[in-house]
Amino acid sequence: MVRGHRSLIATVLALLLLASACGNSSSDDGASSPEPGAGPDVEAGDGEDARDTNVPVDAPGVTDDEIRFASIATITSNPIGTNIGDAYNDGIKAYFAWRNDEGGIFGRDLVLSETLDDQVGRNAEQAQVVATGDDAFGAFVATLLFTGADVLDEAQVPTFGWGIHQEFAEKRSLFGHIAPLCTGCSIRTWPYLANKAGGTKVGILGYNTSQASQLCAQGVRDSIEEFGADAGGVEVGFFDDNLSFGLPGGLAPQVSEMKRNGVDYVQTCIDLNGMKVLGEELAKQDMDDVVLQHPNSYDSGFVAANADIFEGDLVTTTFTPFEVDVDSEVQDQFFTWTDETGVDQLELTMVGWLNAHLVFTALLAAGPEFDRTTVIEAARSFTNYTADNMVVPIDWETQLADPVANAEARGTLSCVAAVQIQGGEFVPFTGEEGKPWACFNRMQEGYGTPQIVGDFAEINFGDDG
Amino acid sequence: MSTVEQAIQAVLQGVPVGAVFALIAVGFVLAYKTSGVFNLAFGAQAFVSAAAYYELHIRRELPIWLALLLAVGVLAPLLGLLLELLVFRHLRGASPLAKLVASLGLLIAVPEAFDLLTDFGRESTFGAVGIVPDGRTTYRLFDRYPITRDELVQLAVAVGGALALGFMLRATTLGLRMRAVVESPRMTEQRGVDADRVSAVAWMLSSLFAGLAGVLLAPGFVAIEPRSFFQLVVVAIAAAAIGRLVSIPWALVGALGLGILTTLLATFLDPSTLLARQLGPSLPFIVLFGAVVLVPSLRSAGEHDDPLAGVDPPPPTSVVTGRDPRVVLGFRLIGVAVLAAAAVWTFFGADDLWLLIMTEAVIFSVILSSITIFTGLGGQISLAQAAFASIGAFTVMRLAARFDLSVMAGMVVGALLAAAVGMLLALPVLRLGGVWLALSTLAFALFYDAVLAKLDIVGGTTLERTEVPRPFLGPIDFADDRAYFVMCALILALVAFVVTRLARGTTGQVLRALRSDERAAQSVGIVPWRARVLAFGLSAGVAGLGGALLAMRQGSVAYEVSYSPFVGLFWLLIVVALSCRTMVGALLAAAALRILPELGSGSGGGTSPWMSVVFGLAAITYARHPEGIAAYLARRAEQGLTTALGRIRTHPAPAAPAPVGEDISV
Repeated sequence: MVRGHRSLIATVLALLLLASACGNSSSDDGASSPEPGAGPDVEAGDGEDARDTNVPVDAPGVTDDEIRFASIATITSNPIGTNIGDAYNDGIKAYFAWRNDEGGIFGRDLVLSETLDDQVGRNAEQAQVVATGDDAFGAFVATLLFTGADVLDEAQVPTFGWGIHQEFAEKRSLFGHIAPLCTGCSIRTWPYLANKAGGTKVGILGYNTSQASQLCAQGVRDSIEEFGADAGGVEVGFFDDNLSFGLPGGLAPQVSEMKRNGVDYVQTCIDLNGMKVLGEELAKQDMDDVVLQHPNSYDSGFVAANADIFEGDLVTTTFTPFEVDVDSEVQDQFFTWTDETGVDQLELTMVGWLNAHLVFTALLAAGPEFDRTTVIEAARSFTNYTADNMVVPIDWETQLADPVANAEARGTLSCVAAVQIQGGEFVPFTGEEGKPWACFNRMQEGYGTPQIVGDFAEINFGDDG
Repeated sequence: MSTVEQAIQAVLQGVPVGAVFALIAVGFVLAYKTSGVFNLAFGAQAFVSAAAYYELHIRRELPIWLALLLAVGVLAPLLGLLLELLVFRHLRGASPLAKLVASLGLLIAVPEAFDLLTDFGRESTFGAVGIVPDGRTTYRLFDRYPITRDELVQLAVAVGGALALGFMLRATTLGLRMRAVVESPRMTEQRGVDADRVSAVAWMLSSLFAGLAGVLLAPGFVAIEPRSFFQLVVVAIAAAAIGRLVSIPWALVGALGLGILTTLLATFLDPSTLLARQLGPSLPFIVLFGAVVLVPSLRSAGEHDDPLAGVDPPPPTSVVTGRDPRVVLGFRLIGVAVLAAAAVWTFFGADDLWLLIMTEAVIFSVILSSITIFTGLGGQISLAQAAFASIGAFTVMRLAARFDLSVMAGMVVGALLAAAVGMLLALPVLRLGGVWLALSTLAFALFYDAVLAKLDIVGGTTLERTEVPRPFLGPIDFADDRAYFVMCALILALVAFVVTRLARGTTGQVLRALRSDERAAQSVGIVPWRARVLAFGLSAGVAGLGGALLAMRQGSVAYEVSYSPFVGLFWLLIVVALSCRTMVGALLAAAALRILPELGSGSGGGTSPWMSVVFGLAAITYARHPEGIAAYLARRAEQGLTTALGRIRTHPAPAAPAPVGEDISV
């Protein structure tokens, strides 16, 4: 079937990923939401002691021996040419293999029993398959579009997915691997990264085909204008959020204008193709030294294939980068079990792994007499969830709201993790071993000072915060 | 830098951009000039060679020269030969429109077939390289303006190719023969020229150029994807239109001009201005639309009436045309019974999933019946039906969200608005007819997609999904899926009634007369534009109605998934392939679109590539069976049964038979 003109999907993805660093933090209000870094990771719940307890459970997809899940992922028909689903499913399976090797949970194995390919256009239909069937307790979702979100939420199917979609906000039974995104928000991390990379004049690019891309670009501009002066004198040197998707006319005029304006750092809200065109044009115009900040290029194959034009660039990630070893069993086991199961360690593999970890943690917290509702509520009860230092702390209850419309849902922390491209490979960027995250206190007036951490429990803004 | 220096820089920066367009435009014109085919599958041919080159050079690490030889020197001409032998040789006498439909089918089918046959795997096909080492090496023009080695090669091939091909077509015997075969294969053969062989060579040559263009352009894309090539084809057609589709040198000039104009606009227009925001993305489509509509000579270019076409014997009609009324009635009763059974089962027995699928099948029947009206009855091709459908959808969404208007009223307004836009578009384009009408509707669809759909008053591009509610009607809440299914079924029945009345009425008679022979129809006083404007407007309105229903079913307007121009292409192919002249065809096509994938998907999904291949190839039969394969087979079955019943004796074809495939019973 024709895949349709879903071209701006790639754009949307790019900028949603770009915006991912702006919404993933815990709330600091109320007793149930500890100060960032002040409280323990509330994840395991009380179920650890009862992990071996097997009692009859009347829930879809649950048998005496297994807890079955379905995944809906984009495997074929992706117009941007990538297979999202296989890597994502590999991550889930690897995680389940780990936990099952430990004896499973509540006397049952975790099983990914059904893998549905939504082919981009069949997401709602596949969601209906899962929602109306009795074969799956919960769903995993990693798709380009998430048109089936309402269906899964209305059926109260515990759903865990690639958290780049706006649909994860305001839906109680849906959980991303990160908190819902705040596209377009003004945040401190953009000028911080620019300054850290030695940039003073920032070029900003976005597509006109998607307001998501334009909002993203405008958010970057607002961030630079609001915090740039205090972040080492970073300012906007070029702004164009009117690029045609696919860049049929190239980027030569834009790059020439950047060169005239003295731009030394470029942050974009465009897709992989756009980044490649931009990198090539910068190289052509002797601007190799300009650092690009890539929103969604955390793909070793893509970077290795374009090593010459991306040297020194930054790539932001939505989780603790593979290249940084932090104090995290979840990370350690990821490497162990992806090796064990023979799968590649890719971005989507980690997303699947992290989704599976939340499932396991929520099941454990719900206890042996779990059902869909108790698992959903157990996950929502986590107020300082970091997946064992893999993602920025999330208060799943407070951050259920849409962060674009609700400032409280943005949490108190604004963090970013980035890696640098050197010789076609990713290397840690912060310069502090085991500490990939730079976190700001969002509640503070002004720019403030970032704390560089690998363990979110160490964050303490003290009187500053 | 002064304004003059900036202008010079922009012009020089535009040349490599134009060279990219030129590679496609030159090849496109070559194909059109030597085969008479408006070959929209050119991008698919380019994709095949680019993919093969990537596989051989990057994955299997063959040296550049060998990979190039195999992918471009061998595979590309072979593909061209296959297309000529299996498809276009049999369409030589067909109308340009039929050839266009065939190329549309190949556009869809060829990349998927290549994937299936070779297990190429487009995923993560990063790092394509050109045909020279270190293609990103930069040189300086006048010690100042940079250009890469890859771009130089592209420019050299585009310019050199244009000159060489232009010379070959004008000054060589082979070129003369190629043009002669397109103009009149029979007359050419009378001069002792093997038209089949010349045509095969022409296809091999144009395919070779497509392959070369694909390999040269691939390094500019992030991955080897057919979509990337097709997008360039659309832009390049605008450039080719500047060369009136027949002049290779002018196509080159047009392509370079378009590239330069693009960079000039980007250099001098403030990107925040409304002009820049609208003009930038729409420039190629405006050029294309303008060229097709405003340049009459373009429409006559390349169109030939074979002076010896009349000496061809009439096509054989091997079957009787009579059908026993009882057999026909029996078929209809069976059809009604199947529909009734499906409706009853859906309402009482289907689970939520199948209720969803069947409801959408009904809705798509409405949408696809818009193709029945314009293509089936009118014999013309519109590639803008998805745009009309989205107008209906967006109207419902906007009226409900902004003015709290009843969605039922919004649906009617949406249908009327789509009809009005359709009629407005019809005024300048319907006089074109044939392939030019199809092309102008494609330009409109792409312009709508790039500009109009993004306007806040139309679709907008907001991150927040605007919900489209379901209607109430008295005590009936159509938020209930079963009630909504009934509502959609009733609307489909209404549309079917209108379409049938239209087909049987004066307008239908006029449209059929025009479809059969426009000149003859005009000679007896039929005025084409009135009936066609009405049909186009009605067709657009029905598409808008269906689009609104779909938005209400889905609860929002999923534009990229459900209404994009490429989705619309597939709608057309599937209807044309199955049956485009009756409402039954729309129902069958909708079933194929929504039910077939679910039946074949199983747990892993994935019937899509096969469907693309099957329906893409099936669309090729449009030339021979313009009524569609399903309709043709049904008619054959009816006639077979009639014969079996012995009610009508089989006898030879009458002296003046209807053309093969012509559905004389509509």
